[in-house]
Amino acid sequence: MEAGNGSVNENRMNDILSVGLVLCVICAIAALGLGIVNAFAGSKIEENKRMAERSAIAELAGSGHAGEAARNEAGTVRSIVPVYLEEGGTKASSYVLTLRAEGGYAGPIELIASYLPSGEFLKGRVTGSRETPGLGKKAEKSEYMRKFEGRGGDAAHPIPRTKEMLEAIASKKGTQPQEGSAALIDPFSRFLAWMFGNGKADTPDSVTGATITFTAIANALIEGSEYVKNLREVKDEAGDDSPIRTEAQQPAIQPAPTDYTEQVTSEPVPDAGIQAVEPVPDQEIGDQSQSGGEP
Amino acid sequence: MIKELTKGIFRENPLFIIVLGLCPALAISTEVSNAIGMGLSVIFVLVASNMFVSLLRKIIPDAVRIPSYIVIIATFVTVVELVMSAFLPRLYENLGIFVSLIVVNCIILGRADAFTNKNTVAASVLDGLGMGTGFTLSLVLIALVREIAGAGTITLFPIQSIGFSGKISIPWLSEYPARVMIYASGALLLMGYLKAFFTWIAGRGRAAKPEPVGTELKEDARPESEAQQ
Repeated sequence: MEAGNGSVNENRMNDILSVGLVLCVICAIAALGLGIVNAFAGSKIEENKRMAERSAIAELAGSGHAGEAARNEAGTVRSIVPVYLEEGGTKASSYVLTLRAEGGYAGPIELIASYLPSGEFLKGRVTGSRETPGLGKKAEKSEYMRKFEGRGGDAAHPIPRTKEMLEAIASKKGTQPQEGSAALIDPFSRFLAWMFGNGKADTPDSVTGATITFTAIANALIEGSEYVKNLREVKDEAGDDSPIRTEAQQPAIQPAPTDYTEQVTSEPVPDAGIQAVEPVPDQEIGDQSQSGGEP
Repeated sequence: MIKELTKGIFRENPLFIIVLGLCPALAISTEVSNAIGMGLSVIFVLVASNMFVSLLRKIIPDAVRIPSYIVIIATFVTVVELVMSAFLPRLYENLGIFVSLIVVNCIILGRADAFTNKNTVAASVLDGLGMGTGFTLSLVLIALVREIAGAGTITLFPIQSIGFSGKISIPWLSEYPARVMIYASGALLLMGYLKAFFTWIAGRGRAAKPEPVGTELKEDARPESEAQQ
């Protein structure tokens, strides 16, 4: 194989170059094609994502009436939606937050969580993650969040952020494995509960093997809880009863240019926090633009 | 020519006879709708990649043929991924990581390397269509057995206009399903039985009309020698 003269080497060089060129051209054409497809599908994918978020917010708001969202471009708390008991209410009964936990095992984990104004975690769900299927991905199951429910409201009931804290909670509660399973009447749900280990979900074991995922989620939930608590403190100091009117103490929330926040963007205040938001008469979070006719 | 289309469905069925692409097949065949979605995605990727590999078979240098095939296949898989997540988000969620894993589905790379790069575009497209259909039918068969036995339901796609929810429940079975069928172990058990069944059928066919196994390979190779002439 050892070539004695230069022309053979040159030939080999040319071969390699032409092979590389062909590969390069194929890749370039492939990239171009994908770009075109993405141009068509990209907006629809974004829309699907927003729809999923809206329905998740509506689900967490329950019978309450969701107000308008204020959005944040960076940080853990990405958006906050006040929920009112009655239509057009002014005092929020709970808040629904979308959170972005940066410390996931494979990139950020997106969560949606509802809190009482006291900072107590009510309900939540992982809406997007790239965690390992079978380990961290288990966090997407609805039972996963049960271990955090009812916690974070006061110092005696902190949101667990370590396995030890989970174990302490589990031992205090006693063993109540099949909690809620009596309510699953139809066989298919019972089967699902059996299959996915419904009863095990709030024991520390469910965290084993995916500690990084758990820590990331716990920290994000704690941050969300603190955020909601801060809202209340600021409000108390201001003696103001309006749902969200925060001062400089809050991490600055920049209203994002989405259809929710059209009216907010019209008067940007650089260092103020979340703007006061108008309660929306109906529950359809999707239809905000119609109610945006404020002077 | 028509043989290229039909051979994938039975005689060279990718799942039961050639035994390729088992991993995604067993992983997603828990619901019939998933099997259909996966099968259609594979048909699309297989036909499109077969077509392009065949078109470019004279241009692609032999030294980098595998990377080139992977690029072509990955491109079409990404197209499927984008389109599916845009227009069929629920299916996309169900299939999860297995959509992206079509890239390394042995059937597609196998066909590209064993058949397409030696055959004409038309034959390759027919081959892709046949193999893809065979894969889809096998997948649906596995999913049907697994879902009916394991959950007592048949999940199809909901049709709003006639008020069909997409799920057919089978009265007694849905109350007492054989859960093992939904698990991986059930998938492997079933795969073993189906493979045995297909081998038996194929063996019976061969006994009636003697046909050595090698002929199939020779048939595939023949167009190559024609092309070289």
